[in-house]
Amino acid sequence: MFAVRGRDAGGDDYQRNLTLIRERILGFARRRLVPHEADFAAAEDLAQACVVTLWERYPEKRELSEMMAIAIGIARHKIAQFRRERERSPGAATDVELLPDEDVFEQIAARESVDRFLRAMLQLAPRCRELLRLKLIEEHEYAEIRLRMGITGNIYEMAKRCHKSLLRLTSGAMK
Amino acid sequence: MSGPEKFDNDALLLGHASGDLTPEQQQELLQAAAADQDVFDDLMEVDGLKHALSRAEERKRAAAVLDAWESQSGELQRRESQSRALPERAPHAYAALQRTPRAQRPPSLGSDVLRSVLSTVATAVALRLVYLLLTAIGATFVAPGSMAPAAPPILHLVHAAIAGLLFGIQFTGFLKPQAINGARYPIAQKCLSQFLAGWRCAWALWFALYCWLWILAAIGRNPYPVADILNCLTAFPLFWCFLVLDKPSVAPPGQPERNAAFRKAVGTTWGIGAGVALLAVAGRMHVWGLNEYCLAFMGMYDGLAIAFLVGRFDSHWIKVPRWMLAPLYGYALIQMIYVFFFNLPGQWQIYTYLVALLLKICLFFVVTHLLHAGNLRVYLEAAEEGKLGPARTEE
Repeated sequence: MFAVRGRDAGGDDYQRNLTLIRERILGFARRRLVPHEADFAAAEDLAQACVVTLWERYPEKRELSEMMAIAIGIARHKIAQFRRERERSPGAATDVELLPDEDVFEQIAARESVDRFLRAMLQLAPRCRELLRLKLIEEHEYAEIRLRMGITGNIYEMAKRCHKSLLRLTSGAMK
Repeated sequence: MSGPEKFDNDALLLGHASGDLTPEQQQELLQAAAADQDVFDDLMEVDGLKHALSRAEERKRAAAVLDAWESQSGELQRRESQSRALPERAPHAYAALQRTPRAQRPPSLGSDVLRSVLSTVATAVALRLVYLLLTAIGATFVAPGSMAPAAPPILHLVHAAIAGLLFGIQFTGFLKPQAINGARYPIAQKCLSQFLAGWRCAWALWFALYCWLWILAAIGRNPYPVADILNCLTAFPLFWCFLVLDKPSVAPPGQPERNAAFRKAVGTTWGIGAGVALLAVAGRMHVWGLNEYCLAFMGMYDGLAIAFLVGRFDSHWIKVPRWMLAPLYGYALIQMIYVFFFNLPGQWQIYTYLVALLLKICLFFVVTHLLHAGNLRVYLEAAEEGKLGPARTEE
C-alpha cells in the first residue's frame, strides 16, 4: 500500500486511489517496460515516483478519474525520464554530458511509440490500415470515412475491431 | 464521440485515440482503467500514441511511411477505387502523367525516325517468318480460293456517309467535349487536345477509307491495296489516343525529356503499323511470295489499337459501364476477320460490314460521352494531380 509520511495524506479514499494508481503503473511497467525480473525494482521506483509527483503537485485532485488522467501523463513523462536514467547507468558507456536534454527523450519516446504503431499498422489488413489511417492520422469523421471507403456495414464496429487488433499488435511489440 | 450510444472499453479506447470522447466517456474510460490492468495498459499505449501523433513531425512521418508502404504493396486497384472519393489525398500516379522518367538522352528527330525505320524492318521480317509458319499450317486446311463478290457500292457509301457525319459532328457545338482549365491543369489541357486530334484523325481516315471503297467499287475497279493502307492508317490514331492516356505525352517548359517514353512508343507503333501495311500490300500484290494471308497482321494491328484504347477506358476514373465495354472489345475482335473478309460469301460480307459499322458507331458514342460528360476531363486532371495510382510522385 502507498504510504505517505510527513504530510497529511488525505482520507481513506484518497489513499486507496493513490494505491490503486501505483498498482496500475507498476503493473504496466512490469508487463511492458522492464523485460526482466531483475529490473522490477526499477519498475517499483518508477511507480513510486509517479505517485509521489501526483501527491506533491496535484494535492487538490481527489477524484479517481481525475487522478488517473494526471497519473497517465506523469507516467508517460517518467517513462521518458526512466529511459534517460537507464542511458546514464554505469553499464551504459555514454558520456553523461553528451546525453540529450529531457525534451529529446520525450521526442525519442514519441518516435518509439509511432514506430510501434507503424509496425502494427503494417501487419493489419489493408482496409483496417486505411480506416485507422483516416481516423487517427488524418482525423476524418466516421461519416466521411464511410463515404470515402465505401463502407456499407457498421463503421464503428469495424473501427473498434481494427483498433483492438492494433492494440494487440502494439502491446506485443512493446513486450 | 459521434458513434454509438453505449460504449465498451474497446470503443472508449478508440474514442480516446481519436479524441472523440465526451468528458463523461473520458471519465468512464479512466475508471475502467483503474479497475482493470489490461485496460490501463492499453490506455497507456493509446495515450502515448495520441501524444506522439500530436507532434506534427511524427504525424507527417507516420503518414509518409504508410504512403510508402501502400505504394509498394501492389494495391493498385484498391487504391484507385478508393482514390475516386479522396480528391485531397496524397498524390499517387498511375496513368503516369506525373511519373518522373528515368534518365534519358534528349530526344532527337533522327533517333525517332531511325527507331521507326528499324521497327518497320524488324516487323516486316518477323511477320514474314510468322507468315511462313501460318501458310504452312493453313495450307493443310484450305487453299485461298477465288474472290467472293464484294459488298455493294451502296454499302460503302452508307458507311462513308455515317463516318463523315460522325466526323463532322465533332466540329459542331453538339456533344461538345468538356474543356479543361488550362491555367490550373496545363498538362491535362494539352493531353485533351492531343487526344481529340488523334480521335478526329481516326474518323477522317475512316471517312477517307469508305469513300475510297465506294468510289472504286462504283467504277468497278479494285480498291486494294490503297484501301489496306488506309485501313492500317486508321489504327494508328487509336494507338495515339491510348498512348496519350497512358504515358506522359506533354513536355512542359524545362522538362523536354518528360514525353520521351511517349515519343518512343509513338515511333515504334508507327513503325510497326508501316511494317504491317507493307506486308499487306505485298500480300495483295503477291510479291515476295506472299498472298492475302498477310492481311491477318493488319487485322491484329487494328484490333490491338482498339483493344488498348478500350482497355484504358476500363479505368475506374473514366467510369465506362462494363457492359458498354463489351461491344468495344467486340469491335477489336472482329478486326481479325479482315483477313477472311474477301473469302466470305457475299451475304456474310454484308453482315460483317454492318456489324462493323454498328460497333464503330458504339465506339463513337462511348468516346463522345466520355468527352462530353467530362469523364476524360476528370481522368486527365486527376492524372496531372498524380492521383491515379501507387507510384509516388516526388514531393
